[in-house]
Amino acid sequence: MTAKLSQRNSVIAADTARLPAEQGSSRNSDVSALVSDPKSSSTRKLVVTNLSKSFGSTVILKDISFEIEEGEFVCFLGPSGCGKTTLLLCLAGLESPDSGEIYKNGQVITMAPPSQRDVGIVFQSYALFPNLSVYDNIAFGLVNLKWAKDKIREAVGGLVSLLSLEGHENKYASQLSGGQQQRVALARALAVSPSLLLLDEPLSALDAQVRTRLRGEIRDLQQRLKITTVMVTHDQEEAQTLADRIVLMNAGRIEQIGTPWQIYNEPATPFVADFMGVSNLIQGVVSAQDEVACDHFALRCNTQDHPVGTKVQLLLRPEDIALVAPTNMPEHSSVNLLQAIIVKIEYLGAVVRAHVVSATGLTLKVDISKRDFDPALHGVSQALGLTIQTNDIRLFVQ
Amino acid sequence: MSTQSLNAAGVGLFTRGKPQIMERSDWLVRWVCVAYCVAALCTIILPVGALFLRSLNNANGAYVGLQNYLTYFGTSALFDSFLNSLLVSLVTATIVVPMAFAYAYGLLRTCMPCKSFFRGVALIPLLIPGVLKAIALVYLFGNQGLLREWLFGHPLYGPIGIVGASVIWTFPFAVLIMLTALQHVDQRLYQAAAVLKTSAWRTFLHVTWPSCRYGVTTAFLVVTVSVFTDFGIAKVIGGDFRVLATDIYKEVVGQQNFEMGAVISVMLLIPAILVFLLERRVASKQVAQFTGRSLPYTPKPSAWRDGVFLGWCIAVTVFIASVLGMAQFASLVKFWPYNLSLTFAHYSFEIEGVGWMNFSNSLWMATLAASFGTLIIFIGAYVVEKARRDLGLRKTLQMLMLLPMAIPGLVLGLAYLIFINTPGNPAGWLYGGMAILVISTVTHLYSVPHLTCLTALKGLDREIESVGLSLNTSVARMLTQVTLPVCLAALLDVWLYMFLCAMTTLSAVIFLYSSDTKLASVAVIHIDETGRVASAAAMAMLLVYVCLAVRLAHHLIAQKILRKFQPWRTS
Repeated sequence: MTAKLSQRNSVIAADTARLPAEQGSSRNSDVSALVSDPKSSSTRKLVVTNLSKSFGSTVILKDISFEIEEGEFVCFLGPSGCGKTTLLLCLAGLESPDSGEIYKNGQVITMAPPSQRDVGIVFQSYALFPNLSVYDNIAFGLVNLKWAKDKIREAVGGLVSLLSLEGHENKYASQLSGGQQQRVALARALAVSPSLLLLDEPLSALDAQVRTRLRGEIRDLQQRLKITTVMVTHDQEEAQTLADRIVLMNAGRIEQIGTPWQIYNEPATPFVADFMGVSNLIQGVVSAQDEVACDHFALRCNTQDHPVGTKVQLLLRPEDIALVAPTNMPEHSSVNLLQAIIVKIEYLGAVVRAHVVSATGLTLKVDISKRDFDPALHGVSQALGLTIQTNDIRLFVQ
Repeated sequence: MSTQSLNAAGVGLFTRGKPQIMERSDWLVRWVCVAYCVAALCTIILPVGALFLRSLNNANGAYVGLQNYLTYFGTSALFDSFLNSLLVSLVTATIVVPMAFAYAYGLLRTCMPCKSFFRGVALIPLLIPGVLKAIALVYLFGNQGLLREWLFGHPLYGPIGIVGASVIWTFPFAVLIMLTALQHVDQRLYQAAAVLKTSAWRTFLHVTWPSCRYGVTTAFLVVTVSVFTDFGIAKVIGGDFRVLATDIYKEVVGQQNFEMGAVISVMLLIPAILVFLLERRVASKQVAQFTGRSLPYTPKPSAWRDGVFLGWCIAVTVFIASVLGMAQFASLVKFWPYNLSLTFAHYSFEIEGVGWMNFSNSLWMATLAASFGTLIIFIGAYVVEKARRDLGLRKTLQMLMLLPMAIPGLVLGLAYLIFINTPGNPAGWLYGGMAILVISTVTHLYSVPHLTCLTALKGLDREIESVGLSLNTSVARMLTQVTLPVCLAALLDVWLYMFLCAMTTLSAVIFLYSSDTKLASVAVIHIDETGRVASAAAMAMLLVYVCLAVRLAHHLIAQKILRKFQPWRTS
């Protein structure tokens, strides 16, 4: 073990210096090189390097590397089947990775059994012991630690009030609502003061209102206890509101790691762009400096240093496209102008989404804020102008 | 060399293949699994193997290849019994399945009154030893029977008697299977059919039938194989009509011809295994017909339909009651049919080698088998369910635990007899004792309670186990604090099932008792052989009363225990 570790250290040490500046926005392909010495830093709670797992010929996780800071709230986000739950179970010790390492506080825990990892875990299904009362459920881990009865009572009492479960101590899981059950599961996981809290889609089984409320409570609790937390979710809004950083996964790989702001506004791949929010993705080829030729038209945007002829994909967020009256078209080099017709209007509450087809046959989704919405102007079959700022267009090389 | 491969190699030494995280409990489960595999080897594979080898030997123990089989197929009388067995089992299944279907349909799809009463009635035959049903039929339809004219002069002894008694015997199995099948249909399918203006016949053809055809197939297979392999009924009421099971008994007990007994056993075993495999296939196809989101069917009243099915259920009830009543009456009548005054004389069992001791042996054996059996079966199901790290081991064990379902009791009994008397077998001392009866009974009955335990364990969320692990819970605490309390109801059911079956079991023990351990079910056969049918009925009635009493006690105690230990269920 020691020999193995020092070998790894020497390989990685050289890259350590680069880390702080880029940390957070790095793409998966860069991550393995960026991971710091897993044993050195005191603030790095959890370091995962090159983790892989497959069942037969099905690859579940492929070369996963990332780090989690002490006290951080990280969300594993991705579509179902992307491997995020398996990754969480690997952290818990409930699944064994085929290769790669997991370090916690500088210690290798890759193959340590769950009982030795000091983690609390909460599942989507609550997984409360059905035959035990709320009190006994919360006290379960403390009894395992052979705490004195009065100390347990005190600790459980504290958690009961922390999670507003007063008056439910003697009830059974079947007598509680989903939200209450999930609170009990949280209290049970927190009772033993784990150094790492793992949440496997804890909110997915709840109805929308309860979900939003408990979401806020989980965030408050995490901030108050400063407990390092990893949560798995497929709900991008949930991840954006809860996480300090999001690990966005697809098909067993990490697509991007970053803050919610970075993930939404600086997506590293078309997949990320498409997964986070609504997007218009357009195929094109770089035709000149700062110009991309699409099917029957060209768009001006920042082509960076990509040579002419590079195949690219352009991301246009619906909220970055403005609809203007055809008579009112601005002329400016930083703005793209397109003629279009509205084919469908959807009322989504705070925004109205217009589906438009441009004169060149391009279909786009355009969001109009409620305040700007004008029924006289924004009607179906209305001919309008589209304006897109050049620096609102994001470009991905294919 | 990369770190990953070093890591993989290091852990791979212990687990073969991919590295696996092994919790202390995982090691424990693994070794218990291995122990169960060894036990299954000793109690199933080796005995049946010994039986098979014996069928390839001659009386002097010399290997003769397939000589015995050639003799078997050359002896037309012996091969006829194979066809006879097939005939009675197919005829029985053809009669029982529609009977049970109509009965279950009445219970689930109509608004007839007294449903829970009729549901209980359907299960009464489970409490009656098969032999007693045959005896009751003799009193009803035999040469001196009450209703002998009903057979228009056809003899009861033979196929008619076997089919008649088998129909009553297998009726509860078929009803239970049909109840499950008919329960699993989505009300919304009927609503959709009604909205589309579908005729009753088309609705039956396209909604009702597809949802229960696997159940019907399963019931047919289960009934066929039960009758095909049954011994007691054919022994009592078969007369000169030979079937495979009675042939084995005659060869082994009558002529001490173990080799031919083994050959016939193999002839009994092969169809039983084929049916078992077929049934597993059917069962695996049945999944996902009815999902958690389906809406259970609730029937609407319909006077004529409810009346017809009520009539049918009453008819079946009268038949079952008259059989049971006749058996009770027969055991009390002084001298049928000439002196109908009542007496308890038949309960004194003044017959050589038979007595109340057999009854207490049965009680003792059933208690042991039920108690040890429940414990062993539960732990077995627990490790099968928890062996998440050893998928190969788990699959093997699961298959071994379902195997007893495929092995007829008579075959298992003969296999034990041959295996345990193999010179040099260290378990030879078990022969003639109570232990071998308990072992053979538990093995014979293993599969059904195993499945019951598995279902109960699956009721506990897999993730609950994960939570237990992350909270550093010991196996013992998890088991006693969570798993056992949750599975308590299933355990009580398993105990009851084992007890009832062990009380009435005959085929698995007929070759294995000694004069000290002779069971009541065996005594019934012996008394019947001496011609004192009333005493045989009396002995069998004792079994019925014990079963009835235990069934009632279970009902009362289970409710109390469950209220005390499973308060979360009542609320």
